[in-house]
Amino acid sequence: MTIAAADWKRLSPLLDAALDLAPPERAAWLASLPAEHADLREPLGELLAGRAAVETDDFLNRLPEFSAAPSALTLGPESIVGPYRLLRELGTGGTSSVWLAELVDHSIQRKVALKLPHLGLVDRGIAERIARERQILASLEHPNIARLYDAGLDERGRPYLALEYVDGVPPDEYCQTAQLDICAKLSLFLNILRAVAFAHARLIVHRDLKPNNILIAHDCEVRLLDFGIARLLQPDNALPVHHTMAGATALTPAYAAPEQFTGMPVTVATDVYSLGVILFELLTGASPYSPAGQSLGAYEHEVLHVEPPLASRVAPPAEVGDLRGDLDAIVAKALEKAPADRYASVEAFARDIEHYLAREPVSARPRSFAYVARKFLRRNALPLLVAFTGVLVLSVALGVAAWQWRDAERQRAMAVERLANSQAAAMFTSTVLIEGMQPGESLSFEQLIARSEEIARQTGRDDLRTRIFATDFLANWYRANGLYRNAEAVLTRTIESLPAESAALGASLRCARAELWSQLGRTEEALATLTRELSATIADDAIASECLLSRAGFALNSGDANGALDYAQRALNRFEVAGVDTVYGRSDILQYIGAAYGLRDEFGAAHAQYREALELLTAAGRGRGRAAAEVREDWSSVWLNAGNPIRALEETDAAWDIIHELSPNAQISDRRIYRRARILGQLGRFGAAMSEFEQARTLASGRGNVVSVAGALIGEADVIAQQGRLDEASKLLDLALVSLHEANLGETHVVTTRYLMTRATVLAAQQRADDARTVLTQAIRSYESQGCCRAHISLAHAMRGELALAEHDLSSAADEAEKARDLAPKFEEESFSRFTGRAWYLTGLVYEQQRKPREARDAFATAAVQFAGSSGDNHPDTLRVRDAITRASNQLAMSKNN
Amino acid sequence: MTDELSLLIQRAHAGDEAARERLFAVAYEDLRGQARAQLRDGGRNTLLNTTVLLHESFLRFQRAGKLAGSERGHFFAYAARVMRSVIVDFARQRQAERRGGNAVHLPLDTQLAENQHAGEDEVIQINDAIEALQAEDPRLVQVVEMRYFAGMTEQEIATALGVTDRTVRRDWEKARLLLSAMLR
Repeated sequence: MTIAAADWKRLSPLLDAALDLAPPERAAWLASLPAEHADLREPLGELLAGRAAVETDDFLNRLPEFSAAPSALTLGPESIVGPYRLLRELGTGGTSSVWLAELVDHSIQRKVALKLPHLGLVDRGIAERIARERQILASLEHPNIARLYDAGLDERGRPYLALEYVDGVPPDEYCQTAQLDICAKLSLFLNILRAVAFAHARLIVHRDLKPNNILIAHDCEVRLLDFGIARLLQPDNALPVHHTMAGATALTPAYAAPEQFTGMPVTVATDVYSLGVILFELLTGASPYSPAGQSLGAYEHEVLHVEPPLASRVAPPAEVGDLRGDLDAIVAKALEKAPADRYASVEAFARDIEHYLAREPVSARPRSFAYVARKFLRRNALPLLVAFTGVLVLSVALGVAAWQWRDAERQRAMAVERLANSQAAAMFTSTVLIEGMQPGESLSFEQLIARSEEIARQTGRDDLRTRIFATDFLANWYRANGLYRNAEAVLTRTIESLPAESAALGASLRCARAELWSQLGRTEEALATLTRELSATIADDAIASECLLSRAGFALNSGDANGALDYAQRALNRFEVAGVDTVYGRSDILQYIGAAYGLRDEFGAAHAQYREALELLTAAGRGRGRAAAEVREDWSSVWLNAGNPIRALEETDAAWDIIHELSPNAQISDRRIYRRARILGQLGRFGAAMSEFEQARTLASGRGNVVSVAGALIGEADVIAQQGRLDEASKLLDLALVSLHEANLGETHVVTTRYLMTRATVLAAQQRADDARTVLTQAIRSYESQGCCRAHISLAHAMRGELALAEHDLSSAADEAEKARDLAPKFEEESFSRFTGRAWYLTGLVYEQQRKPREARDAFATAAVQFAGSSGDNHPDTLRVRDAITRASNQLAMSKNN
Repeated sequence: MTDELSLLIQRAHAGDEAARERLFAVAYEDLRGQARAQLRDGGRNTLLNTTVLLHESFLRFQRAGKLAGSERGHFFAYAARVMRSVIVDFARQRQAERRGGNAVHLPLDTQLAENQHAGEDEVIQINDAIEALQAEDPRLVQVVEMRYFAGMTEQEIATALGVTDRTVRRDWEKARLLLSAMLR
């Protein structure tokens, strides 16, 4: 420590001076301190360096919590804990002791199991967590789940949990005593699964399932104990077990999932794993693991690194026959190390057991196959079995469900937050809705807009924030409805009328206008404004966040994926610092981050953002509001770029549904119509696509959006080319090029590149292979310079491969196929993709030429799954690749006959 | 009898040491008693809430006719010092019990026990640090007492000290910087 209290008299005025300076100026000021203060330079630097930390954390913001002295806490029969009197100890474990207890005042005549966490294990946040979770857990009413009646802190500040007292035995003991056969054991286990599924549906994960938490009561009914209790007893920001040892994280090593050892998020898949261990033990009477000792470390090593044996390997000889095959596979799937490889839900787990009991096929497959095949897939080599690929890909897609749970608990807490309502918003609303209105009078939407315009214009009013709010509202509304000129006009008017001394307040409007410009193709002005605004220090975090987000929007519009992600994440940081955490604001930012991930082809991450945004909105009761519609529209773009028009159409249609529900006469913006047209075109619904492209083009040209005009022309050309009308397509592309020049888009703009790809398609169909190749190379270069759109680059390679194949250049085709497969969306990205399908289709064609019918058939099959999942069973691409499978199968049969 | 505390406050304010000590003793007894009662109270309020204590204490004195409403600011300023003392005493007592080995801890809980003890240690460290500052910058010490120990708002502190909110905010910022550096 270089700071002594004695120096303070001299330090204090200097610190004042430094704090008056803007942070960037302080270093220079420090350096220029006169010699007499030279000795204070170091302590001052240290003080100032602590500033950021002091501002962001809550250092000294609150007094540490004090509770009564922890001494004299010996418990015994007749001890009083809160409102309860202890009767006898039921048991004691590593984390708590449990007592049979009754209410002191006998107001309710029932005995409860009173759980008393060991005091040393209780952290300071427990009171808060109990307050937060108590209601939720108490509302968990299910015949197979023991109730939580009450939870609180007693007079000594010690937490207690009053749980339903269940007199029963754990399932392993029960099965042994009752000598159940496999079917009876499975039926019993299904009851356990149903109870767990019930809790999962309420977003409560158990986290500590083990036989001792599952009791079979005397009525033979299953009762699950301690649901959600592990969560209650664990600090909110508990570190992985390594750092706190078992102290903070209640964890039973023999049943804990790998993610509980490594500190990764706990999800429903964690419960699936623990249930897998329990099932393994019920079926075999042995544990799946045999650690070298009972220590946590020994278990951790086993759980993380050792594949458990198949259940049939360790079962008593009489059971081996029944376990081998399906049951082995079911148990192994539940015990997968990676959460995403397990059953995506407890329901799916239960379904497989039901299928087994009904002698129907189960979804799980023996591990040996899965293991080998997955390794193959990872290396991008050919999958082993046709049918098998489908199953694997499907189960990856099902992993989506597991994702949705991941943050469920955090979101539940966030959903409680109310929408923040600023004073300006209140003022705006009351003025626009009430002022000058007579009782019984009602406003039409047009009047509402007109009145808003009035407020935005009223320079006489001294409340600038209300005007800015009105402007923001109008601009957003106009933009969402494609009325770009109106949006620009209202923004400009307010920006220009702001008094000079309040110019800082208008930063968000200037940034919004710049983002609008970038959408309209006025790139240079947009970038100049955004750069200028962001280089000024914006003191207001909320405004800074909005400007950063506009900058992210600019990056998105110009295809700069990394920039978009960077700015959007910075926007999120400032947003969080601003502390006005509205659901809308956050979902808006998540949407931009999602779009940025989408542009980087990290589709899994992108989907996660959109899902989170929608869950936030839904939890706040805004699942069918305008914001949700916008999230879905945006998500639709990501699906489109991931090569899955089916999902893209689902989201777009859901969004339009919402929009029409909110305002039946709403005009959908040209951008949205344009996107839907592209989706329809990719789905092979040419008629509908053409009419929507035309609609989008008419709207866009009426509104001065040249970029959308060019986009629509390119889309029309694409659809017409797919129908074989190549000359017409070519002419439309020429027209599009004119618009592109007019819009003055850079060579690397997304729409420009889209033009190149369509041009290449037409050239290839016209058998102008060399020209097509040149254009494709240009397109690839343009995508690469943006660091985006790997999926589209994959398509370009596939197209080049097909050109090479037509010229019998097998080795080039094979090279291109490999590149295409490499760049296409991976199976892990949670979606089927026509790009992946195209890459594997080319691969199949290459094998076919190489006279490898088996490999060709398998590659075609992979392509078929991708096409069917992304574009539909009857899409021309799907049908074409199905023909190819038949062709290859026939060849295979013939080669065998010879 | 009427305005007994008000009188003490005025005399203390004028520099009367005896009045100051008497004021301290009266307030200490009251606040400490209430703090203990709060901790013993069972049910929800088992954690010490100094803000509530301070306001309740003021209201009690006022209702008993010992304190004029207009003295609220000054009372808070003195009471904050008392509060600090009450809290530090609690923390010291807790530390002593810990050293005496009264508390039973399981072998696995060291980390968490550390967390709990960290609160007591923080209080004592802050106390020692501002003790050292008392001679150098008494107002800064008062701000820390009122803000940290008594949980008063910036507005309340400004009123009690007769300075602007902005000054309080700046003092508090400086205090946090200094204390964070001193405790580092």
